[in-house]
Amino acid sequence: MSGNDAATLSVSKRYKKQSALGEIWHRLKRNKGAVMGLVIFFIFVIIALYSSFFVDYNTQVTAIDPSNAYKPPSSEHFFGTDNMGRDLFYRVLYGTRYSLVIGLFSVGFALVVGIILGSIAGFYGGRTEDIIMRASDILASIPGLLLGMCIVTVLGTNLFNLVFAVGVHSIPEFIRVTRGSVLLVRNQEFVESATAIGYGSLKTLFTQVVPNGLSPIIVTYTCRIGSAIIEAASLSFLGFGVPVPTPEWGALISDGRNYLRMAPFLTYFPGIFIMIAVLAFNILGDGLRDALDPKLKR
Amino acid sequence: MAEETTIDRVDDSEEFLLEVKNLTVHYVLETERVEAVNDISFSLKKGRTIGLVGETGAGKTTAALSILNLVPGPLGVIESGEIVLSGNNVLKLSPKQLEKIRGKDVSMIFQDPMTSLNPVMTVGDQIAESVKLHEKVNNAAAYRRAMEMLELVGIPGMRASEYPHQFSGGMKQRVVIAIALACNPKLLIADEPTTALDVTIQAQVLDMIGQLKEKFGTAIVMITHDLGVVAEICDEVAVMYAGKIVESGTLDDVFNHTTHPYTEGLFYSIPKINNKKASLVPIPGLMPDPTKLPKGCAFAPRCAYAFEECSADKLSLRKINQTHSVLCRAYDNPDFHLNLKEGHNNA
Amino acid sequence: MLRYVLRRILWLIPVIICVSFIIYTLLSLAPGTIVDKMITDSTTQAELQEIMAKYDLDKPMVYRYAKYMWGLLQGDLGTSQITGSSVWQSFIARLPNTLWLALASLVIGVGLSLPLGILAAKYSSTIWDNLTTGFTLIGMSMPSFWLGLLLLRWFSLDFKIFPAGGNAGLKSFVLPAITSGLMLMAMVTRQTRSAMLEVLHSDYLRTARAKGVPEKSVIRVHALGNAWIPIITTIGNVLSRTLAGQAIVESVFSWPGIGRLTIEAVEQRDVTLACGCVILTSIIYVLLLLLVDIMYAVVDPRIRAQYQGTKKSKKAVMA
Repeated sequence: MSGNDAATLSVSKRYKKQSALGEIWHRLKRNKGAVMGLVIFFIFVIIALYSSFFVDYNTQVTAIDPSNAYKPPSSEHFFGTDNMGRDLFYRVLYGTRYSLVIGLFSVGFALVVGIILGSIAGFYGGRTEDIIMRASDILASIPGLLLGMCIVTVLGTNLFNLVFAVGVHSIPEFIRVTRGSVLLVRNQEFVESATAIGYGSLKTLFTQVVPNGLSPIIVTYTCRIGSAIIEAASLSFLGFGVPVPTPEWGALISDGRNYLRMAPFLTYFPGIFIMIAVLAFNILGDGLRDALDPKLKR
Repeated sequence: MAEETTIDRVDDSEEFLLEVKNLTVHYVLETERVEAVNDISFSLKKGRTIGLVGETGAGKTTAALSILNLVPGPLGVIESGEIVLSGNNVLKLSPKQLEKIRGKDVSMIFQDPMTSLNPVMTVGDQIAESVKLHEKVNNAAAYRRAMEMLELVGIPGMRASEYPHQFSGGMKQRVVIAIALACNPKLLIADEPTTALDVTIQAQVLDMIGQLKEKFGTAIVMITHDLGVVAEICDEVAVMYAGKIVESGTLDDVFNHTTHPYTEGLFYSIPKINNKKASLVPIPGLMPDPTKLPKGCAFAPRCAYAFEECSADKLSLRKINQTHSVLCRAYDNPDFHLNLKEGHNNA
Repeated sequence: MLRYVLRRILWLIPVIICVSFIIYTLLSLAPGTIVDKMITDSTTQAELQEIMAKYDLDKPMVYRYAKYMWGLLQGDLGTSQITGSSVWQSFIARLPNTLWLALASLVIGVGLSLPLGILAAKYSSTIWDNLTTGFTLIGMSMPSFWLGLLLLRWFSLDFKIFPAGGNAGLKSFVLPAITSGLMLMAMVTRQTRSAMLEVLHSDYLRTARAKGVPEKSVIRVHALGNAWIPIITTIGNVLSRTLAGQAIVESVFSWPGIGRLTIEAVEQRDVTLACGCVILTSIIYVLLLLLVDIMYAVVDPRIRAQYQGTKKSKKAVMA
């Protein structure tokens, strides 16, 4: 009997979700900024995929050719060449994947941890909530860049550690946002009815509460990616990023700054790419915010 | 058409404190145009009270905001018309001149007291602000005046240093009234001042407005959908429907010699305490979409007396007597009369 | 209110304990120690033992942390393991540089962003608004170190208007201040715009206009007065981030502030100095957020009333 009810519930939910998704897509499409952000995002994905298949890492990205150093941008080398004679265009293109991976996965990591801890805090309340929220407060009070530096120092410079180092810092925000929306959703009727038909509390939490409080989380996710890319680039810039010849954008700028006087283009191009990538995620996040909930603030 | 609809008063127009002539206000949206107020005219003498009555969306608030030239731009556009307030055409004044008139010659009480007060300013400061703007007094004197105003509306002057969130809804509305009356305006526009309040508080607030009106001789434009309120404090009534004034006259004209079918419908929709057996007769249908108003009478689709020509042709205002006029073509037929049910005017 | 502030300051104690534990452990676990840079090929085993013993490196990490904490509880942040100078002294010596920079960026950022945001909100959906929005979006998307390098290249190398680095007089101040101020400005402008947009349609502005308040005061007094909360939140957040991220700007402009001190300490595995810097920066960070909370109460009587209420406000502590 209760199974029957549960089926009805899930069917009606799925129906509601589909139409809601369509509605969101419709609203997103009307937002010029969001569409542009989405287009840029896909272009970057294509560049990342393309550079994996068509640019040879060993010969085109990292091979050293000192006779060819400091060539200004030309039709042969679109972005010029660096101090080792490496083609900056290929290096920047190849670097796309790092920023994308770091952006998507570091915040994704924070999202997963944050959703789990945040929804537990919001759903169970009491002492559990206190402990989680205090721990989150403490984590939030360590300046992100410094924490990232320490983490990379311990774990060593590689892509995975950089993702982790940047992600940790975003966890408190997701805990806060998730807890907020869980608190908001928790007392609504469909949650009560799920409990009434005998859903366990964990099942209720992850089938009813989390999906319905998702909008602010999605928005936070998208908006966070931009700053994560910047943070990762900053860490790389300071030398706490990826190991040396890896063409991560922040690292490229870090290399280029030594030649700011004679070859400023080494600094210009990677920076422009960082800016465009971050801009794309920021405007996409703005558009999503408007599409998901016009009343949602901050 | 303009000439036809102007109410031809016999009195010397110099006496009028407020004259609204052929006012038309539209809200211009991206794809459509909301005809909020369509060619309305009315006037008000010193110290008198006129009730603007109608359903939600009839254009009452827009008409009222026009008197202050406060129709929210850039969407709201005053298309045409003239609003003369103590000899000045409000619609032609510069922003500076408007600021001088607002709060001093004319002030307004808004519908929702909960949101009408600035939450981060003490109520005393909010009242004193108005005084300081319009009278040459120093801060202390303005504040003293604010406290007096609070006392006047029945709030201890001590509470002037408190913030709006420390007051109840009825108290907030009293504060709003105190702000409006702080500079002793000649004209007060009250936009549904009691709608958001509890019934008991409604009576208190109305009572107070009535008293203040007598004390200061303030003329009032009372906007309401509540005929009871009109009966209590108004001298004149203008019934609005879909942006037009469909019937206007003295309280006696409109209440006891009702001529417009819509006004009649309004009376039928009120429960009567002394005749509980009489069932309510709601007006069938809804107000027309203000973006697609018919050429002729907007009420025709809902009107029991309507005939074919009603929706087709433009209407012109018909005078029943010197004070009473109606916008209904049924009166082209001299024998026409509403089949008023007995006791409708006991509302 | 006072009780609330006291509680928030007491809250610093667990923060300091946890932060010091996290950072100390992390840096101690990191491969390599300060000793690495002191030994040469000729260093004998005995000498090495001696150096290790000097820094307690021959003992377990727990011992070192306990010793460090014991000092910390007595208010002693220890001495730098490399220079031997007091951590507190080194930090305090560098702090003014960072604070001045933060203050300058605050003045630049807030001074420009408030009018910009207000105008954009007031004339929303006009070219002016779109320009402002575009500017803030670009400002937010630009990595500060990149912006710093661009400014260096143009104003220091090309036009030679400002020095390229160091702290030598007011002129050396300009580029770093602009670099960190621009980010702040972009974020605050954006928040000011959206906060004002929200407030601009409120009924109480209509009330204010209806009583004849000049438009200028309507915007400045009534609208801005109610838009402060989100604006202050953003200023606080961005400022604390600027302060912590100052390391980047300081590194670009060779600015002798606490950010660079921290980076150098981490790079050299100077655990005491690095740990002390992070703890002190975290304290500034927490105090800044407390300041933001106090500002809320200053600008909004409703929040003030909440603090003054007898009811313990658990939510406020969490915020």
